[in-house]
Amino acid sequence: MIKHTALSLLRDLKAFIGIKKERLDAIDAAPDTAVESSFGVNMLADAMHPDRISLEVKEVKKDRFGSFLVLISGERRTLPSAKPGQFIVIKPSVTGIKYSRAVYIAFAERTSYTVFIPQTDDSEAEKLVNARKGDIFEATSPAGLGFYQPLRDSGNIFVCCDKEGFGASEAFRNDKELQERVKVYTHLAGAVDTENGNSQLSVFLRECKLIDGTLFIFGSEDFVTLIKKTAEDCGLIKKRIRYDIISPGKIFPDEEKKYVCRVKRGSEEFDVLCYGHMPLSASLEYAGVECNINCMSGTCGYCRMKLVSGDISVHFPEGEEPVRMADAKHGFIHPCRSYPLSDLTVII
Amino acid sequence: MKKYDVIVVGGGNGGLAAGAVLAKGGKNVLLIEKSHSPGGFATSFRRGRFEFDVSLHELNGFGRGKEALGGVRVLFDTIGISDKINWVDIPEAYRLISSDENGKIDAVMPFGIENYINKMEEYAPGSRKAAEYIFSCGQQNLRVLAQMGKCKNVFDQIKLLAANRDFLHNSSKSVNEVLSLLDMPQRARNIFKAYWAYLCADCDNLSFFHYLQMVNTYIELGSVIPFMRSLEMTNAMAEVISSNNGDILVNETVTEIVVENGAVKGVKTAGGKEFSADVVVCNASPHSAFSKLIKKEHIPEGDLKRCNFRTFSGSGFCVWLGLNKSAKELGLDNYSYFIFPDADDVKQFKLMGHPDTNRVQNTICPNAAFEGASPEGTSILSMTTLFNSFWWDNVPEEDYFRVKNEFASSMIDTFEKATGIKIREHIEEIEIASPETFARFTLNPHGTIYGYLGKKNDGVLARTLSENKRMSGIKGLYFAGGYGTKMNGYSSAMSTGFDAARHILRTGGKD
Ligand SMILES: Cc1cc2nc3c(=O)[nH]c(=O)nc-3n(C[C@H](O)[C@H](O)[C@H](O)COP(=O)(O)OP(=O)(O)OC[C@H]3O[C@@H](n4cnc5c(N)ncnc54)[C@H](O)[C@@H]3O)c2cc1C
Ligand code: FES
Repeated sequence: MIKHTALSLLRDLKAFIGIKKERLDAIDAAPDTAVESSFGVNMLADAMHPDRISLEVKEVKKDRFGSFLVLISGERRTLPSAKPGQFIVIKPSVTGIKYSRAVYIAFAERTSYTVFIPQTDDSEAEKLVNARKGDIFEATSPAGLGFYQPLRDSGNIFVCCDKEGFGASEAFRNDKELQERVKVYTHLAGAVDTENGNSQLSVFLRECKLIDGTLFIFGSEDFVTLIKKTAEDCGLIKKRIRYDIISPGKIFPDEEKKYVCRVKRGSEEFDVLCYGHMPLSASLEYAGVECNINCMSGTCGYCRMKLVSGDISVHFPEGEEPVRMADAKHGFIHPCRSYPLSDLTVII
Repeated sequence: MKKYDVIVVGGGNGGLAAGAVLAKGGKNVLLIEKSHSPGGFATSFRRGRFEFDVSLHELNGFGRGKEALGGVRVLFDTIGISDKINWVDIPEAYRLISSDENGKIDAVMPFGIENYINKMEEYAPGSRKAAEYIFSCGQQNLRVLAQMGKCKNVFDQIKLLAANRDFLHNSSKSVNEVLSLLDMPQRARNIFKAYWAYLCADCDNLSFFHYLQMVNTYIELGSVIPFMRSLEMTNAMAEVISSNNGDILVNETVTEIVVENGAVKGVKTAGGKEFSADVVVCNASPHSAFSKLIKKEHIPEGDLKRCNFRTFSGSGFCVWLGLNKSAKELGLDNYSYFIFPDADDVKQFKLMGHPDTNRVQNTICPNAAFEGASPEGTSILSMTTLFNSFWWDNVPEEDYFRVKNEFASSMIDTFEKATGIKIREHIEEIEIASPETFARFTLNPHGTIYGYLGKKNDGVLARTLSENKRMSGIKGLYFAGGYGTKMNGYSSAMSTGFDAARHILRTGGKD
């Protein structure tokens, strides 16, 4: 196709030798100054998603069902932006808290987050409810997937929450762009009675379906599961139901269902107690073992560890896989959603 | 301080391949990864009832069946994982849709060189001869590469080159330069060039040798993906390290590669840990290593110059969609769609710097390749484009989500317009990654996903001919991964890790 001659052989050989030479010459001509190290998007990434942020309590506003804490950056910086429906996870070992706690951001500004801490009979949550001005927390950046996404969700937003998810509904109500389109059903006390037709809830869900709204459900596991099922029964399609389970349920060491978890971490090996009604991550944190909790809802994978032996039960929404396929194949679990059923061995 | 034979910084494809080969070869390996699980780009994530692959569209160089031996298969056979992965064959090479002013193209191209040439002739009559020539050059490339290393001296090399005149003639030329010498219909050229969008370089700049090597491997061997997404390979490679007495430390960022007297001594981490080793394989980019990890006084002038000479390749932008209808119901019949507003690669490349004008995309629908890619009655689309400018560096934080959503929306529009398939109303899950996202998860400068640009004087051949095995003047320091000699992509990144490991096993890392 391409004709080659004796003359072109020389020319082509020269060009071939030139490939290496040109590169070496160009390298030689480049400056030997320090290599560029700051790039806009990398800086943006650091600003928007720092691994940890330090937060200081600026104000505590008590409410009947909990407390609103106004938090500012402990380092007097601007804070990563947060969308309505997102939460931060407050890390243990601050102010005596023993396990990570996820709390919804009810109101976000560049310099402060207002989070809602529900009043429960959980003594760890109690410590947060009773936080004081000046207390410092370490927390994760805003996380969670229960936010409004215009490319996916309909313009009509229906938010359904219990006490645990109340902060999220406040965030939707407080958002200037969304508030016109938001309707909220709040269930702050008592059990939800869907069987006997909790009429207010039924009307709410029916309206959501009728006008092609997207339902956002926030709260504790039992609440979210129940409302999700009720909404599905009501005829809402999956695409129109978004949810986020914030609370791992009540957590405190219960001596009744107690197991031993053997932890292998690098060359170390040690045993800790774990409890049947607590997520494994909470038991580990309670024993002082850091397990990189980030979302507490089983989706981010930060807490991923390998289960070598033992049985667990996984609390995860129906129809969803708790871990990625290849992780399941290789024995990885997310301890933030795993409850022990026997003695365990894990590799962190 | 614990001492290892080799420390691997970063657990992307390059790092994992190096770590696994070294561990299997009896070295005491520590791999340190910043994220919660290794893989780098080779990972997946779940949203609702869908699991999305972050990066893998198609694995080049594995081959289908044992007779078609690609480089990745040689690596996986070496570490014993080829048969531990559930492989899925990709049904066809690609569908190219371009609404070219000079004639719209909508071509579905098959794998297999003969099939490909026949199909090309159907779409562009009169192209057969040129297409046959191109693929014969592909075979010549492979022959020369295989024999080059065996040449004992310069005379042997000249003899080899003189016996492979097409290789010799074309190796210093760009894709467009070679194509312009061939009697080939424009339509056929456009069909052949479709893969340029994978590489983020237009065909005036892309080396013909490099491009053809990639196309030839894809078309000849076909491509595959693991059923459980790329994470299935990642986990398998990681397991080789752990089960051969290696350690993998996750959630730990290396902050310093310690160098003394021109030689590597170990690493320090953000968590305050220190480990020593005389050999370090760095899967982070040379830019990261020479600007952040190694103190300037220890960096040889040549290493600084080499970094400063380079140009970054494209920054990634992806949209993953979980749709609430099956691929069949929607008419998503093809696995891989290359979509170009028109087929002029040089023009399109120029437009890829700005979100208002970048309308190039490669989109895959895994459901067109295999059942079970997502739950029954649903399907997945994964759209990718590249930005060849640093436009995203200047987006203020307060505009970020809006800008990202707007561009994602334009990608959805482009797909709908090109294919006539309405997907928007079926979006059940959506995730969007911008260059910021890639920067966050891999620390890559500018969120680049394809390493350094294969510009004319930094193409794969130029790199291979002019680099030492380690790509650094510091003793004991190796680079592996997409910023290495072989350019980017799974097979290339793995292959540099494989090369580094074999060199270390042969020389102990002292050359
Ligand atoms: C959307 C998309 C689609 C793609 N499609 C394909 C395709 O179809 N086929 C194909 O072949 N290729 C494809 N690629 C390219 C391919 O994914 C990459 O070339 C390849 O995975 C790069 O591997 P790597 O070894 O360079 O490592 P990377 O994936 O870049 O990983 C580097 C790792 O090092 C870690 N690290 C960095 N710095 C540090 C530090 N200081 N301390 C500790 N850890 C550190 C990072 O966390 C990361 O895990 C695609 C990429 C993207 C993004
Ligand atoms: S913390 Fe996110 S999955 Fe466990």
